[in-house]
Amino acid sequence: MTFLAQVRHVVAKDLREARWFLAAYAALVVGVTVHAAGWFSGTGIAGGLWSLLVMPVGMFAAASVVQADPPLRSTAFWMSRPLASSAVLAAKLVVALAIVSLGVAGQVLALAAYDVPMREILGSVGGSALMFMTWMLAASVFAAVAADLRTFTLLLLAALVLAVVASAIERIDVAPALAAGIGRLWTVMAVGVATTILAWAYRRRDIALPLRVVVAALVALLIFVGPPIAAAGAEGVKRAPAADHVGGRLQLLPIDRRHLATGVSHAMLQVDPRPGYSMRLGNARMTFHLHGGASMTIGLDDAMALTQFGVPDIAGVQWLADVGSGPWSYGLEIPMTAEQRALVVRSADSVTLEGRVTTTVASVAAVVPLRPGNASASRGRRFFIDGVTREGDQVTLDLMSAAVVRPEPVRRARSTASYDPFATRYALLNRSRGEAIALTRMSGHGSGGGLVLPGPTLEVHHYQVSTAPRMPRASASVIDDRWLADAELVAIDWISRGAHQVRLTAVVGAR
Amino acid sequence: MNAVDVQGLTYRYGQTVALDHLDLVIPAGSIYALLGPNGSGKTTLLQLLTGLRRARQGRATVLGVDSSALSHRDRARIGYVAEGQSLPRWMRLEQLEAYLAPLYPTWDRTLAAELRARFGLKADRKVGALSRGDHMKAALLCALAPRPQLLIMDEPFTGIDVAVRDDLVRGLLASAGSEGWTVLVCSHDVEEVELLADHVGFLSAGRLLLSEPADDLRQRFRRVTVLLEDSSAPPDLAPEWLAVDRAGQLLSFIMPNASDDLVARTLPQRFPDARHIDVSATSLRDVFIAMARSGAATRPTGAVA
Repeated sequence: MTFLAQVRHVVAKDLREARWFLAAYAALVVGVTVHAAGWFSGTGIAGGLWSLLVMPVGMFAAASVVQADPPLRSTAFWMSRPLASSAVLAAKLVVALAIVSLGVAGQVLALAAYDVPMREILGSVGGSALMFMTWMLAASVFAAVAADLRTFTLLLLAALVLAVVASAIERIDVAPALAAGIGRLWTVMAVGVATTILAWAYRRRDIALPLRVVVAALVALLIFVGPPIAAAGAEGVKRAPAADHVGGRLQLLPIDRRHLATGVSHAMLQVDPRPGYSMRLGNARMTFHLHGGASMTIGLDDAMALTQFGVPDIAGVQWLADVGSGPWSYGLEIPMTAEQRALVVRSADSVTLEGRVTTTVASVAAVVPLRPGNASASRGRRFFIDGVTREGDQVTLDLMSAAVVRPEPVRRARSTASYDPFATRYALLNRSRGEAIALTRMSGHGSGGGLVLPGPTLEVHHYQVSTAPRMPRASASVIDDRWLADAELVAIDWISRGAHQVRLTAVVGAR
Repeated sequence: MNAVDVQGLTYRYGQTVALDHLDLVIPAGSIYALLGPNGSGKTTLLQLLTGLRRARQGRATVLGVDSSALSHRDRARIGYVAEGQSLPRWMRLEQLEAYLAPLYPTWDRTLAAELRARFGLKADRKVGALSRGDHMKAALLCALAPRPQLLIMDEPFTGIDVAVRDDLVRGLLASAGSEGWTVLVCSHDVEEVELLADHVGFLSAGRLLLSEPADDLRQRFRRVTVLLEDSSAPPDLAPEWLAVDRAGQLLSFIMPNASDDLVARTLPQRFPDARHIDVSATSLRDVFIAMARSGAATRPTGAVA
């Protein structure tokens, strides 16, 4: 038989031999995928315990396949047969790859169910698949050196305990991008070492027990403990386009020296209304209140933010909310550091603050026809209308939303914004009438968990949103059943458009 | 040509020496019985010969190939049966045969069917459901059906009933004779291989105490029974005599290298007052037990094991 024929022959045998293990694994993957994708429940439900089982069951399936033709057991059936050890090893890797592929397929389907862009799916699934494969290789090495599946289980548990203990060890903090690079390199090395060990074991067929223990420990350290570094906390910041970039839109109001002198530790800041800003000043985080215009600000309530600043994607609609008209001016409290206060108190003429401004714009994330049971997926999230009630002029919706969330280290390494389910705003839109009304979040709760494989997680939130009470106005439309019949639920995100270093100078006045 | 050629083979399990500078030659076409007590290193030797273990020292060639470098093509020429050797428990016997057949260019389906019938095995029976004896028969079937040039068997008759064992031995003798197979069988039970072997080796504590043709061995060892005149007088015993036993006036022992001349010359000198001296052929079993107890090497005069 040729090499490939032998591989096929052994794979066919292995698939048949491990069919119950593999069937259980496949059933688990299918169940978790259906569960996570929310094909039958409107919105996805985090896999929870079941999704945690996918990798262990897959690892046990891979281990059982290795144990069917173990490389280091002299009584093994295959050893005295005319089978090339490389063909047997290749067959085991093929089955492991098939196990990983099934999980990956589930993960892809689950992500696609949330309309995650294919490019993101491929990037995310690649990482998950690589991680799964390294764990499968670790399982294969453990199964190769173990006398039986019971010993394998003990080895695996020992490795997991080691991983837990190791997680408590402080790592060296490095830049996120460097940590990600080292992590990838480490994974490639771990895959290489584990594969080499397997190939060596199958080729040699006879390895003394102490050496087996060393091999298992090495693989456990490489794969379950990981590199001794961690991504540092700071997000990546764009190279400062300097204060000029946004400086014209930011202006500090004069600081009242008397307030400072009497211990009032805040100042006033006035900001251009168009973009929304958040700013980090030294160790203090600032929140800006904007005066009326075409953008949002943190600190305004949902309805007011949408009404005042609009949403470019649905421009031209009339917002049905009685919040008056701008421009509005809002004060901003800036907690100052002790040094800054001391500087002002010492009669300095001005105080210079440095920090970062993040600009955000409103964007429609999803549009769902306003019917209970309707759902829509978009850009990694699905929105599901569970119920719609109206009492007079007030409309209340029971919503569920599920969002695919990238793992924190990836977000930090790539400096990408995460979906913040509580930052999402909602509105009802009636296109035929050209009207919209903002919804305010009333209450809610959430839960989270894995999808199918490690990597992105699924965050599911249940909450109520309601139209704000409206003041009676002659020109205002009445929201009734007919209005609602043509309405759509619009989910709106505030999307980060970048972060910029800024430098602001406040003149200290005497008032 | 020798089917097996072992030189200075040494293997250790940690600090325990399993094989100690072992030399062994098995001529092609011979049926070689490797005897030895449990723990003497027989299984380790066979595993080294089949490449299941790697020697730390020394060298072994099997069918002209270094045993540590046997390719799958080389293994197709070697049949191996061992007590405790695992078979896929989930397979039915017919599935097992179907799995193995493509691996061996010389797999003989007719012979496999014949062996199955001879052993009373059912094709649709799962391997995991076989009794210990039937499991061993299935293993034998798998080893014999490819018509191997070298058949290595480690305690192959364990659990097999006597009738089938004799049948199998006869079948093996016939096949080995007609097809020129070399058979290496190891056992701690001499009786089960006595009929089979034309060459015999004794292994004890990792050392080969003897290795020679079975007929020569039977000729070389004689059982001597002496009826002494005086039961109280200490007999004049030679140190190389084995299994010395005395009960009153009756003294018995096994005499190695017992040529007719030596017997005729030595015994009257040693026991001049003996009432009666009886010299008879001995069985391999007696020799095996005697050597296992003494642990001493007894080589034929001028022979190299």
